[in-house]
Amino acid sequence: MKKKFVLIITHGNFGIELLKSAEMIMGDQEDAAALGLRLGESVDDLRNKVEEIIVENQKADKDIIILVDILGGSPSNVSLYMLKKYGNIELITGVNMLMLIEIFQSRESEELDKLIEKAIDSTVNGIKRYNLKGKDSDC
Amino acid sequence: MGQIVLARVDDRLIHGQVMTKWSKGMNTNALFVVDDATAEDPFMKDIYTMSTSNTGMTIKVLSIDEAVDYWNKSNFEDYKAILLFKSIAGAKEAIDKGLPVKRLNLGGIAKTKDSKFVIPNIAVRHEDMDTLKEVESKGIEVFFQVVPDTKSVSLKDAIKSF
Repeated sequence: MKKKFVLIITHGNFGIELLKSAEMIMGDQEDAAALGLRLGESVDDLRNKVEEIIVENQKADKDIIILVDILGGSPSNVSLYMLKKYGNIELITGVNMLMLIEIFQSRESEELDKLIEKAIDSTVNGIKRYNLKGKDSDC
Repeated sequence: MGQIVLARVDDRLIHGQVMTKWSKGMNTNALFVVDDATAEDPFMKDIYTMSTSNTGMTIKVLSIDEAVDYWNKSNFEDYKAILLFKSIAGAKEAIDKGLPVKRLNLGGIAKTKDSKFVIPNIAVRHEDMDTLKEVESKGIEVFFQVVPDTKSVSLKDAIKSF
């Protein structure tokens, strides 16, 4: 099975810290990187860094999964640009802890399509609501 | 009949601030990128369209002349649109050619060698201020603001501190 490189791109340091937090649970990860676009930084610089990572990993014959925070933001614009230019890239929006853990957990055992599906499902199924309305609050 | 909810100059065109802040709460259902270079670039045009699929917003990428024609022929149909311009010159041209803009927001212009920040993220040159004064003399409110609920600076105050 091909190795799968995970690239997280977000506004600010969110993605960089998210990767660290996920590694706290899953252990240090190879084939993972995170980039942040901070206020005042140039989108062109970000695009160049992303492109460098993609070229390098496609050369090494790895699958590339990009995770971004919000659809329509600059990180997602840059990623869609790469997707169009290089093809063969998977992009998921709404990156979060559950998604990242699922990917790290399953990327060596699942094929790409199935992995993406599991990553999205983990997020959707991982959101639960709790409150104590209508119950005695003695628990 | 459609409506221009806001016209904004932002060299990043569609991005997070526009998608999450400006497009909410103003009853907007469309973003029109009005920029000649982007309209002639099928690659970038595609990216902007892709980036907003599934969001319920209608996206159009138009040249200045196409946008003016679209307004003249159909008043933007039923769209309540935010217009996004890449440059002050582009916004001025569209206004001069007849787009009925009431408020022009300066929202994001990267710094260059000969420009100066008015507020963080928005840098203009001296000649831009003259262009903006001309725009305001047509009864259009010109203001500098990155996102709603943050500091807004009027053109008058911006010129004072420039």
